[in-house]
Amino acid sequence: MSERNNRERYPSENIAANVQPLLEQLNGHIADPAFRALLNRSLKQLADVKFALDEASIVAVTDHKGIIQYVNDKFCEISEFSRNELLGQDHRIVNSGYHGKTFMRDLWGTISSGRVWRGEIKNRTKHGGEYWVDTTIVPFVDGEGLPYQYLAIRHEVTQLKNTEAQLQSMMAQMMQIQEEERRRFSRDLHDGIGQSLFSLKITLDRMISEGGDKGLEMLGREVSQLMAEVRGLAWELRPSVLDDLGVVPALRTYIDNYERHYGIRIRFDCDLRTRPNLLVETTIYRVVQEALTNVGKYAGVSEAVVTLRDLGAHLEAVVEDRGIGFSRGESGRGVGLFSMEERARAVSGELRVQTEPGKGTVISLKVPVTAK
Amino acid sequence: MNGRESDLLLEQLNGLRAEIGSDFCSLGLLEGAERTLKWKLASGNENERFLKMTDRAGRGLTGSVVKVGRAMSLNVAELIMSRQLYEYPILLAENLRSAYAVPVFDGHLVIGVLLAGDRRKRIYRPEERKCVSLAGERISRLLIANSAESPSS
Repeated sequence: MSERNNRERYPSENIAANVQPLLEQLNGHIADPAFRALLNRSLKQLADVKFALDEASIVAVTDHKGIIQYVNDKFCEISEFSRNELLGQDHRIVNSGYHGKTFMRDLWGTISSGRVWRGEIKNRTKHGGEYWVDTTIVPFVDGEGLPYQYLAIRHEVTQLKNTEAQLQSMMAQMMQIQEEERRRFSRDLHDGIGQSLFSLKITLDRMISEGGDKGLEMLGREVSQLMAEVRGLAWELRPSVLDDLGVVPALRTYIDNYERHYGIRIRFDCDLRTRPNLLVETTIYRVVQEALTNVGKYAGVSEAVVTLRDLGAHLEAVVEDRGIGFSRGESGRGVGLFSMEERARAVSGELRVQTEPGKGTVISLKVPVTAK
Repeated sequence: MNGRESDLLLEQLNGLRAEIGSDFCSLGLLEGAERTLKWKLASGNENERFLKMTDRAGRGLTGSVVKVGRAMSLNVAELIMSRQLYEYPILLAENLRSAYAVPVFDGHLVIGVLLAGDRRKRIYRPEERKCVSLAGERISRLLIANSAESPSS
């Protein structure tokens, strides 16, 4: 009963639809000339604002049930529907099916409780084309705070979204190319220069055993050092063990070296029994490497924990420290986090960073096993 | 390195630290056939991480001071710019902003590195650099004398 009253008190009407007739009738109804002038000006301004809005944006008005009551020309143009086809329908007419149930529930939950909703929505045109709109939905509420009308203002961002997608796929390709290059360089260093140095060392050793002098021994030591350097370089570029034996032995070696380099103890928990595909392995290896490098550089701790878990459909890698933490957006750390996020995205994984100044940092990567 | 020797060396490190007024001082020695640099003693350290560190072959101080046999100034801001900071874990572990490192010789052969560092930006003046070099020479004499005393170690 009370609902009906509300609706009657606040009949949903199109924005500023009555402005023009009101302006025309103003002279006959308002006696006070000053007040009339004021009203006239306000109404005129309202009409102008509506005109500007229609020029700039895709506008739609619905009643409290979501039934379309008004659409402007831009809405018709982008959706390829005529005005008559749209009026009386709800927004399912342009639904692309891209957004899940929770997305829609969240949207309705927000606006039906009287709050403004903002977001990007993918819609479908009459002829099956798709377009993205940056959307703001403003509920108009009655005296009791209940929405009686929704005003949706949209801007097309299809091109922006396409570029964003292209950028992401480009990033993924770039990272893969980088890994391939690294693999090749690493192998060339190890098998090429490494092998040559090895045979040089053997020759030197033979000459020494046949009675070489002290200088030759010195040379032998320098060659050994050079071999260690080349081995180290190849390993740093991309450890061959990652391709040959998988991510777990590769991480074990990495952690051994890391502990010795930074003097930080790492507890490594792992229950991975099988080898995931190489792309996933590379992602896990690089993300853990990046996260541990951050620990070494910034956390100020003498121990940290790395966990690798098999969760059935997903694999999870977690790097955790109890160090100084950070607040996101702090300069300097951005790049590492960004590349970890991009790597995760490239295998349809998810990267989460939990941190606060003084409370340590937890970086967790979740990757679907069936990643492409 | 026996107890008495490390006491004497630590005395040198403490002395040098007081002399030039720096926050941190450490001695690293080269070990094994691959001559990896390991930090043995430190004065003014904030934690014990330096004891577990090994420099990577051809990187960091091993690739500079040890290889070339010359002293070197380190500045963390510059190392960040050139993305080389991770090669100097001791600067990270001890939160140093500036450091000066000299080689420790046995004859012509580099056998270690003496490093003086500060947790603030500092430029080491020529006389301060001289102090570090002289301490390096005293340390080298101590090390040689000791290895002559106990050749088995």
